[in-house]
Amino acid sequence: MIVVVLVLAVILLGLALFLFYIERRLKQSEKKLEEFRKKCTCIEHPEELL
Amino acid sequence: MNNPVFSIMMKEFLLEYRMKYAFNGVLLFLVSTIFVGYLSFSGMIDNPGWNALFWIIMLFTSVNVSLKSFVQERGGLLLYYYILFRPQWVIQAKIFYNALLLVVLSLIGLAIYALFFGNPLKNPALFVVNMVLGVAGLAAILSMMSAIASKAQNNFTLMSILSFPLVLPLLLVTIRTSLSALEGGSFTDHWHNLTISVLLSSITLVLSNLLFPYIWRE
Amino acid sequence: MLFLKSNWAKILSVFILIYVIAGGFLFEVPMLPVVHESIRNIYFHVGMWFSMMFVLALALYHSLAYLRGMRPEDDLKAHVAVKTSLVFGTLGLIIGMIWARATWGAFWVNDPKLNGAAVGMLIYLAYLVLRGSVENPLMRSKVAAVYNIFAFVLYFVFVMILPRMAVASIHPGIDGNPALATGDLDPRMQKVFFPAIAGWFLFAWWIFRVYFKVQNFALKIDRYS
Repeated sequence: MIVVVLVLAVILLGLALFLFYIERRLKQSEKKLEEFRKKCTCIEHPEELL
Repeated sequence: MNNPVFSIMMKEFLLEYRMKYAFNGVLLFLVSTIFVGYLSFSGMIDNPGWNALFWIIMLFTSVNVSLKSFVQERGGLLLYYYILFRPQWVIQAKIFYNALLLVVLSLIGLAIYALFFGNPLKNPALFVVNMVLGVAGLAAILSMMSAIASKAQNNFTLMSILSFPLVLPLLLVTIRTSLSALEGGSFTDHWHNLTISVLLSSITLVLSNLLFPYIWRE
Repeated sequence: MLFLKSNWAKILSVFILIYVIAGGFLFEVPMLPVVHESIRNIYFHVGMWFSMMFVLALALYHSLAYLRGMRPEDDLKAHVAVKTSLVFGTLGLIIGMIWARATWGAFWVNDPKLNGAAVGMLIYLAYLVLRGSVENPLMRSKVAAVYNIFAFVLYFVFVMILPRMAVASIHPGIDGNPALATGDLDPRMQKVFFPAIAGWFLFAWWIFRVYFKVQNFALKIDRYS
């Protein structure tokens, strides 16, 4: 029984850590996107020109 | 006669009366499927089978009829409705018209079915009432699905995919009551089933009324 | 609301679920006929289904919000919620089937609750097909929102109301709430069951939010490519 508990707990923790990891990568990517936007001279919202 | 819903329904009816192609087409479909069923199952059909086959045929007939509402509608007519009438009236008229059409078709279908497969109905009143309610509910759900599917690309398959899961609760209840009517059940036994049918149809009507305007505006 | 988005809520959900896993398997359970030890499955199977309904309610909320305000993020949230709920639903089905095999001898039986669950999956898979079939993005969002609202109401009727009115069901919970067995839940199980539901809700909410943020970000990037 304890084996089952440990296996499931490990899976759960793995999932949770994965989610945290994704969120961290997202935050970093968002930061990079912001910097890119500042430097970019391109048209961001072409539909607003119309 | 000034009621807009009624006038749209009259318009549909007149169009149909002049052209007749849709009604005749569906009638032919109905008779053909019954006949195919007869050829396949003749002699070895028991009560549940009789019931199941009947409702399968009714389901496909209903899908056929509802397809015509929006998916197969000629573009000019839809624009005409759009300009003149409020969306709620359009969807209500379509639902009522389809329901009426399906009730008529189901009665004809029942007659022809009984002709080929024999008539084991022990409680015909319950069966007919249940059938009418069930088919009206089908009309409501399928008309709305037809409206949704008309906005997409592969209309025919999409219409079936969308409709079958949503129609299942109603169909389940109707088929169960129907089987019981075949075997002699009474109204009092199945009062709650019939109420469920009515309930589902009313929910669908109300929801369609509220939601249809959003997809009507192209 | 803000607490639920914080890191504390996520860590809390993990702790709750670890408690549930440990408690679920190690605590005592009443020995009921037929199910015996497998009653423990209740903490997971029911958790999956409740989470699915919870996330579908989220999807409903966002579809309604979309029709009100026409904000694309609401549409994205509805879409993401439906996809998440399908994952939970599949897990719930698989767990349920394994449980069914163990207790009733078959993976599937003809029962209103099971049929309702299967139909629910079909309804929302049809939602995904619908989204894939409409080309115009604006029309796609509107049509998807309308279908979602329609579908949720009928789905709710089918899984919550009809099974309770069915005459006989092999699936527990016919006399009242479909999740709690006949009578009330044994207090020994209650102290794992209620935290389990809370934990699964929080965890599902977390997964939904992460999924949404990822998709949202992907959309934002598309503007620059």
